[in-house]
Amino acid sequence: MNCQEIANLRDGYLDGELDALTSQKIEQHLKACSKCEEAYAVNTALARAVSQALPYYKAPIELRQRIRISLGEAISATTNRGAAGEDLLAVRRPERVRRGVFSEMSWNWLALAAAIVLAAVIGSTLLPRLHQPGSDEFLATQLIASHVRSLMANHLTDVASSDQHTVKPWLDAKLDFAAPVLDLSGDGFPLIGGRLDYLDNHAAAALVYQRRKHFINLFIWPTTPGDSKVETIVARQGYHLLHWSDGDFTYWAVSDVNISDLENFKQLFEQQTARR
Amino acid sequence: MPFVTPVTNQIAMAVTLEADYAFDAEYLRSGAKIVKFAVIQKQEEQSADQEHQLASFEAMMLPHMDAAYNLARWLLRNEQDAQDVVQEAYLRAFKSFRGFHGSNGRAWLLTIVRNTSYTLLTRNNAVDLTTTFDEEIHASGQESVTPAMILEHAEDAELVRNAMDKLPAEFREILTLRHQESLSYNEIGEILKVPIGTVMSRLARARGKLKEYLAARISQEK
Repeated sequence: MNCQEIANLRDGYLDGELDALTSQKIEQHLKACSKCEEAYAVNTALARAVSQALPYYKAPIELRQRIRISLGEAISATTNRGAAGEDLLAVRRPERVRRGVFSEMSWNWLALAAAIVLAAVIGSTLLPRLHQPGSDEFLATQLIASHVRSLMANHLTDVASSDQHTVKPWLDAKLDFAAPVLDLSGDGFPLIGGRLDYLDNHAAAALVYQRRKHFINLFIWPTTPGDSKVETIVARQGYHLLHWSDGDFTYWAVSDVNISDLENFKQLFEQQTARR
Repeated sequence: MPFVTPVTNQIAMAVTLEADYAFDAEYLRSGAKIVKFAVIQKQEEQSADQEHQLASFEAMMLPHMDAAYNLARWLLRNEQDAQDVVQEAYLRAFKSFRGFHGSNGRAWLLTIVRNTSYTLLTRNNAVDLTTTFDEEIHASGQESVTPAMILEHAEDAELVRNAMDKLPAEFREILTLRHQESLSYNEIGEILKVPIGTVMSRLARARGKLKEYLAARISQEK
């Protein structure tokens, strides 16, 4: 090999991209030719300078956050596409079909419209959940598991009483917070009792309510900074989960009753806690 | 009923009406429920699928954010532009993630970062897209700089960085990919969409240019 051929292959040799035979030939030439050897040494030094002396710019923290947020928005945008054109967040509560009102409009259309609005609202309440897919998924699984276990193992309640003044002191004594306990039997949700549970890495109060033949587990724990404050509905495996939060506590209602019953329950519960 | 007074008749009619209505309302409400349930179910499925996609995308691509940012930063020579480009590139990558079945996530992401960077460079009419003839550097007496002097100054980070910043974009990117990301010729060729032979010759020219600029700097300092 002459010096020109070496010059053409020198960079490939430096980067270890040549076959063994060619590499060996170049090696031999470099040993013998000081001029080529020097040029090779300079290139090696430059390569080292680029890899070591030059800064390697690491992605700033705010860029990481920006990207995670924009990815979350990207998926919620596609999920909601076609649900509704206008600002979904302007509507918070599901619209109800008013009963007993005869109008010229067909019931079918009213029902369909209500269903669409409801779906849109549910879609919008689901959005915040999408930003952190892992944790809420896991929590929902835990909640359903706890609900199912409570019905399965004949361990629905630790303290069986329809009297809120019996259940509340019992729970208060076992927990380091005072969860609101209400009897809603006047509204068709009689209190069955209370139970202790452990969810999402902290102790929780579980209140058990009955709705006709169905049970509702209401899980309560003090709101931590990591808890979502946004009302959320999750439907999974035939169960509905409804999440809300007031200043002090985080609530998760889990049941196989339908969503509107669960929402009704939530509203009653909220009204009564606000009244006290 | 053999005999019905008008009053009872009315009551009977009302009861029937109410019953009819109740049946209809119940029926329609359950119909609405089915629609509602179907809509929820659909949305749930869609969002679950999307979440799954996002989770696997994040697991595969977020670890390469430093590589993406470093390349964009060297190409654009500006922190803010680099951030914008990387964010844009991640969104583009996520949108076409379903079509990605390769194993080299980093090379794939860097290809998108590079394309996005060039879009911005072209839009800003950047003059340094390809090799430019630099009068100032050629006029200077760099011929007097010996290889030994270059070897001596190759440790000087400030000097090397200055020379690197002067290089045209195609040389900055190939040096970054080779020496900072330690990518093979094959991977670089994949990202730049050029054959391996071109990767080698471009690297050789990039190093030659870097050496030239370094020599010019050294002779200026003398």
